[in-house]
Amino acid sequence: MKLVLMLVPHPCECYYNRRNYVSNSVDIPWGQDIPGARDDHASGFKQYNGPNDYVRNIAVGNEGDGFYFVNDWRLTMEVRRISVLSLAYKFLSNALWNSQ
Amino acid sequence: MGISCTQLSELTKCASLSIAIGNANFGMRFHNHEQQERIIFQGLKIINNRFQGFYMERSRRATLSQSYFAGNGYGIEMRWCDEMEIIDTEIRGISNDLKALVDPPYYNKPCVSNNFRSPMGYRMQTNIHNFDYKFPDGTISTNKGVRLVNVQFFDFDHDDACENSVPIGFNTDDKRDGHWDYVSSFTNVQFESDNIMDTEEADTGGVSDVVIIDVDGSSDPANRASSASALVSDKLHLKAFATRCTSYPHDLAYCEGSCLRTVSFVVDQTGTKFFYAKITREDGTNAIGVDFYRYDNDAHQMQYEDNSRLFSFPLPSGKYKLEFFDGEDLVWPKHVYEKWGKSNNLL
Repeated sequence: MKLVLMLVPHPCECYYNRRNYVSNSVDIPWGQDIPGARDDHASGFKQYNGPNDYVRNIAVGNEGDGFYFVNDWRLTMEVRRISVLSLAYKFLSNALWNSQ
Repeated sequence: MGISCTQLSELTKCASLSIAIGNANFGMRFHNHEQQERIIFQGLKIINNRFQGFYMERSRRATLSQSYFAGNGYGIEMRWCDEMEIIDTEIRGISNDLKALVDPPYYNKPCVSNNFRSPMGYRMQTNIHNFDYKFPDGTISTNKGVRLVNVQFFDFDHDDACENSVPIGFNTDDKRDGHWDYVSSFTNVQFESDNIMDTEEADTGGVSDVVIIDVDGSSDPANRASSASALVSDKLHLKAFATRCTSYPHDLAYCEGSCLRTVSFVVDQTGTKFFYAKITREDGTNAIGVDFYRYDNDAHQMQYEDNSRLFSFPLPSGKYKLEFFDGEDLVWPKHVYEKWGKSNNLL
């Protein structure tokens, strides 16, 4: 059971994710508690707010999406309008989660 | 194997040479791209995902190239997306081999099991999402839809539970007034048979005037066309000025040698409920246009001055006369303005 969640801090550099293989990640519904797993919508590769390059990656048999790339809807053009505060919150909450 | 993302210096983001197989939701999805810079997805292999193989929404200027799709519920869907390109790509429905692979009883059955639909190769939208929109960087939408170049569709012809498979379908959930304005073109796009696109479903969904230009005539099921031609919904007013139209399944007509450009006439919404438009070419050929308007029974929406009634015709080059009638009476609306679809040769 795997969940790969990649959060790219702001401002973005061109990260390069290559030759990864992710399979059989599991989507755990809200309200269910499985130790060591998040009740999030699992994707093989999930990335917020690029720019990133993904090269030679493989996502097989995931319960959610294979690859899920999303820019925040408030993020328009190359001018990053998403607030630094919200990104900091995401970064800290993710770090806190990992520390637990 | 193609080139790497980093070699595409003008591009800010891309995924290439990646593989997504057998995922329970989408193979690859991408949301929100408003930048002027075109992004590219290259060399993807996206196979046997339950819903969309490649799904993109609320974006513009993206290119999907040198990729392979097979056995997905929807091979490709681009929703609320303008200025898209699909190039050098093979899109397959479900093959007999894949059917055999999932034949054991503990597998879900394509086209049969719950949420395993008959494959659709490419699900098109029907409207330009950002029509005449000014983006934050000052650029203005070009009002172009999608361009398919060197795309082949296979494995969509079945006589079993997958008989509803179709290479191209339409998402009519997002229609505005029911008028097709997603100006799109095909160049060297090939199908295995006359099962090409489900314009019948589009009509049922409320979009009855699909017009797509086949730039080089390569999509002609009869293999006769050698110049720009048109794939249109099988409606009289769409075929009136076209040449050599042949009807095919799913209420599709292929008009050989007809390069059509859509022109719309926008009139006041009030007092025009029973109007119809008649357009006459100088050789006497004429067509009666239907109107596109959603609010005849909505007193609230009729109060908004920016709602209009629209008449639309796909026309080849020539000289035309436009007349409006209210029953038998020749009338003229309070105002009329022309709205031209993007010329297909500029796609």
